[in-house]
Amino acid sequence: MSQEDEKWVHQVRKGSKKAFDKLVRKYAPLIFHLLYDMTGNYEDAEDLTQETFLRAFVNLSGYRGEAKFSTWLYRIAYNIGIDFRRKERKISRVDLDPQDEKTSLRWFDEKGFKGYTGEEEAIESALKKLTQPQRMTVILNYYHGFRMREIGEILGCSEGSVRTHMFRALRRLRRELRDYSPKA
Amino acid sequence: MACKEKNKVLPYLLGELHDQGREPFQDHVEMCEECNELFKAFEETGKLLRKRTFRKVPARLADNCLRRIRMKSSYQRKSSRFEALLDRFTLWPQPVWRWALLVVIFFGGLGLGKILFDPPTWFERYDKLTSNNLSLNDLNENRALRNYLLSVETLFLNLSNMDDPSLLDDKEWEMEMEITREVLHRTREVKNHVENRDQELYQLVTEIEWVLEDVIGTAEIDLAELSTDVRQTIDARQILTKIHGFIS
Repeated sequence: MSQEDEKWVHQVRKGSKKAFDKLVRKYAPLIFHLLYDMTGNYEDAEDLTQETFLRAFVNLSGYRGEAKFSTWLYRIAYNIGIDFRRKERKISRVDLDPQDEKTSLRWFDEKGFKGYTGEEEAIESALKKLTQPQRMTVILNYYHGFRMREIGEILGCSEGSVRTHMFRALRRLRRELRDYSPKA
Repeated sequence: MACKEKNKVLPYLLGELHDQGREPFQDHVEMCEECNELFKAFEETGKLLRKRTFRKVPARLADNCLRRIRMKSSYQRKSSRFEALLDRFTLWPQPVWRWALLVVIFFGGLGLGKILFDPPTWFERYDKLTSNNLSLNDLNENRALRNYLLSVETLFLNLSNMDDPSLLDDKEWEMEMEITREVLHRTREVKNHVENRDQELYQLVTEIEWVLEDVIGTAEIDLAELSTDVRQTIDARQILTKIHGFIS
């Protein structure tokens, strides 16, 4: 997969529009899910996904192939998501209740958990209770297939820190989901 | 008591434990109750997490991304079109030359704009009034001065050769004085312009101004004596000789 990405990136640098189309079509849904997990808002996630690919396109000449293309792209998306949340938090602190951090984050609050089963709702709720680095570590590992070292590159921290985040996240999730069995 | 191998549970679970350490740790997990319990807890949590469902991706997500990129890149293409054009000039391959060319074009454009759009100078206005057949583009300072001095010479010759100005009817006389006043007005413009530029010309123009003021003053008092007075003044000052010296 990674070799395929590198081949497309090489072709994009040579001016191939088709190659960039392929990269966008492959990664757009994944980046959307990541940004949806970060923002909790459907429209914002879509807009930020576009922003991610635009920034990637503009900065593609700066990609030197030291990391995997997917890691590089996810790092752009993660930074865009973080910037967005910072801005949101600032706006919310002015417009909304300054004490209510959960409201300012708009984390799954707007539409609630409509349509989810009890178990799915419990998973969403448990993920919501993790800290941002813990949640991102779990999401990037379980839903996007990144290894600890790559997650460190995306989040901008060491592999050891990522392991600690993961360990604590799983321990917390286990506690939150103790009433649910994977076999059910 | 905490097991020292506990920190290997996570890498083992995630498949990141090196091949050499994997099998021994697998044996350890089966033997160690603490590690076994932790491993099972994490494994079950992981299985639960994988049951999570995702929201549907927006329709045409990738198309919208690509459209936004194309909009941006077409904008960039437009802005760099001129640079692309310059790329064709192999004589100027260095960017510094491109910028130099841009500067030359910019200032050249400013100069051309000044020529085309600036209001005419007094010389141009004057020439336009006295020589209708001249186009503005042909004008220059010397030509305007020459035309002015010729008009002064013509006026002085007319005034000094009049047999008896009192014989002119009112309309003719009014026209003659109108011309005189117009030339006096131009004289003052010329005087202002040549001051501190050409002392000799400034002196002549000042004398012309005095004569013209004299003409207008005398005409109001004694019309019959005008021609004689004008002739004497002009002769005394040798104005026509000086004018010929300038225009020849």
